[in-house]
Amino acid sequence: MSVVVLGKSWNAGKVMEVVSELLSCGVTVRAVVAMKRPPAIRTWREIVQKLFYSEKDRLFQTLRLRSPQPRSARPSEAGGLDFVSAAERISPGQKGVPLPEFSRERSIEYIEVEDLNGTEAEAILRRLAPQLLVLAGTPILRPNILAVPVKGTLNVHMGILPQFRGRNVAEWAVFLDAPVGLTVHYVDPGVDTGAIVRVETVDVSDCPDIDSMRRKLRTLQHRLLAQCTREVLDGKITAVPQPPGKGKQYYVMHERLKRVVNHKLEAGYRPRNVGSRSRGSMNTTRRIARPPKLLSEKT
Amino acid sequence: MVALRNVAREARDLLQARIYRPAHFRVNFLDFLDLRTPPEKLHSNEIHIREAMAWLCRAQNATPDAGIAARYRLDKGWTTSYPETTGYIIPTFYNYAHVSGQPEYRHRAEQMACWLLTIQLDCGAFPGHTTSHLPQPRVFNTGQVMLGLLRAYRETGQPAFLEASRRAGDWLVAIQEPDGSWLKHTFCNRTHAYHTCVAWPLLELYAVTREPRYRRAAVQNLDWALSLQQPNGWFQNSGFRNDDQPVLHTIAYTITGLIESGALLAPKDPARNRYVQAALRASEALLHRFEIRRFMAGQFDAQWKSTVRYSCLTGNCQTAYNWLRLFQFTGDPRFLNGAMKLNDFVKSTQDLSSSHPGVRGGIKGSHPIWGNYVRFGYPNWAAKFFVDALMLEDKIVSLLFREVGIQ
Repeated sequence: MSVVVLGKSWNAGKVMEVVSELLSCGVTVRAVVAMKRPPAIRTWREIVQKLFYSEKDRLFQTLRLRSPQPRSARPSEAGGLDFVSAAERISPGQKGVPLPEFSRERSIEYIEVEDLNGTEAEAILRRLAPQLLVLAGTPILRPNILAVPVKGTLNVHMGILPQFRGRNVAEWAVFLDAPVGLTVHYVDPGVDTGAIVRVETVDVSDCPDIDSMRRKLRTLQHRLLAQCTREVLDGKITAVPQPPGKGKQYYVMHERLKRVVNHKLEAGYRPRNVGSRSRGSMNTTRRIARPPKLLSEKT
Repeated sequence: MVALRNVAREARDLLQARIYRPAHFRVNFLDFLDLRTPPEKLHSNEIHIREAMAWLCRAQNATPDAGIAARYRLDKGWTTSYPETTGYIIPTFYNYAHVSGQPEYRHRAEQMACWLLTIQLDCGAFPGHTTSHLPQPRVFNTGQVMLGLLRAYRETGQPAFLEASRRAGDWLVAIQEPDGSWLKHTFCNRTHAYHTCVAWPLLELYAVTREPRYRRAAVQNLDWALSLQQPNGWFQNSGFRNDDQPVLHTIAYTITGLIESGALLAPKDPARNRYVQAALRASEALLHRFEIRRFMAGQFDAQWKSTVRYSCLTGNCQTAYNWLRLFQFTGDPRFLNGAMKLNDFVKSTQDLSSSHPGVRGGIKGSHPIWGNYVRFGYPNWAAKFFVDALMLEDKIVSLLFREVGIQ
């Protein structure tokens, strides 16, 4: 029984880690299907924007290395495009063995597609006919892709479901004094709403900041994903559907709020809001959320 | 042919906006390329607030009375005073006077309040539009002036401010429809969901006078507004006209009126929860759209979708303020998070270095400046809501930092 791993070609390190863990758990990886990098710069406006923001160095890197750009030319956050340098976007694995060669060495078919949700990708996956799809960092997948694998699509989420869906959930858990953890779940068309395979809490008291916390979680998550994949293929796991409407969707955390998270991590973070009663508001914010004063009262 | 006509119209508008002036050209050029201040180069909120307040002072100095010029227009410069927005800018000036410790702003606020007393109509209402228009009583405008007068009364104790507010409140009560809406003396002669921002000052007036008719009228209107809400949080009648896509500015007013009215009711009053929950439903829809698109559109339809490519900066600031208030109510940090990002976006559009006093520190109606809301202009109410949102953000974040022990 085989699986196909989906990922992004420019996030090769993550793909390689997932594949390595799957192989170490005795899972047969039939193929890796990776999304091609989109063109670096698509409009003359983006060139001008990069120059305006003094990104000449990054511009050169971008032109040479073709780092990905956001889907539209509209600035994403305040102050322009996401100028994450190409160097930052290249994961460590790619600095060594390229992903196609990595796959070939392990007798794994490697295929690149423009769009993981497109008809080309769908046709390829139908040809491969995997039992399971395993995600190694992909955009949201559409129903046409999710319908292909017989047993479904597995993903590992860097937060505890159903309470924490969406982005930066590890950070939000710390912000809200809630447990940090990982969830392996089936993927459905919603955002992190698929049936839960396994939840594991992770002690991050030894992580002094967000970066180290994410590094720790990244290391553990691929191992957990691989173990769960093995167990799903062996029929040893029954997934639990998430109750509809439970939990909240979180979004990218503002830098100022990350200071709070880093401060808590630096002090050796231990969760205070334990269990399912964590409703997404924290002891601290409850204290701050005093009854609103009258308009006339002084600020 | 249509494309040619559009180009000709755009060219005509740009010439009318005096694009040949260096400061105006700079604004349009930067917006054409969508060049805004990058996040790492944004200044502290204090600096952005200070520049916006300086702009508001210049807007006040630009008029022959003590009112604040409605806007700076690229085509015509400063306009005449706008009573409605002068009214609700008064609390902003008082708040900034407290925060900055500069008494000049108190003095200016009192000047505004005194000027408003001189233009109150015989019926008790306040006029719509700017002072260059014939004075006609207007429901919404009267409510906003009341906010300023009541704050001036609380700050100074002068009975004239309370008396004027009472007369205005009596007029509002007298012309209210049986179902709680206002139809007479309204913009475009229709009912508006955003009249929740008229219910709010009525509740403020009730808080001071304890006269039940003000509370009754306010609650009637708020309940009427709730009847307009769809399951997805959308409010019918939330635009100026019978629009398919009302501008965010009026949607935000509707939400603000519900939040601030809820805040004035007793914590155990079930109506308080109803109004705040209604505001929450609409706000969550907006938050999700903003976070997913990473851009706040200037207009929305009844499914919270948008086809416009501009941002209504006034609406952004109002929405950020609403989200901060909802964070205070619920403790849900997603609202705080979204508000900070929205504030950052507006900060990135504020020009702090222009040599032109009408541009420097002001907040445009739209980004880009040729968007559909206050096209090619800098409305004073955008600056006001911007200052309010940033001051509240600073207050909340400083409390938060103190709680967790960050210096």
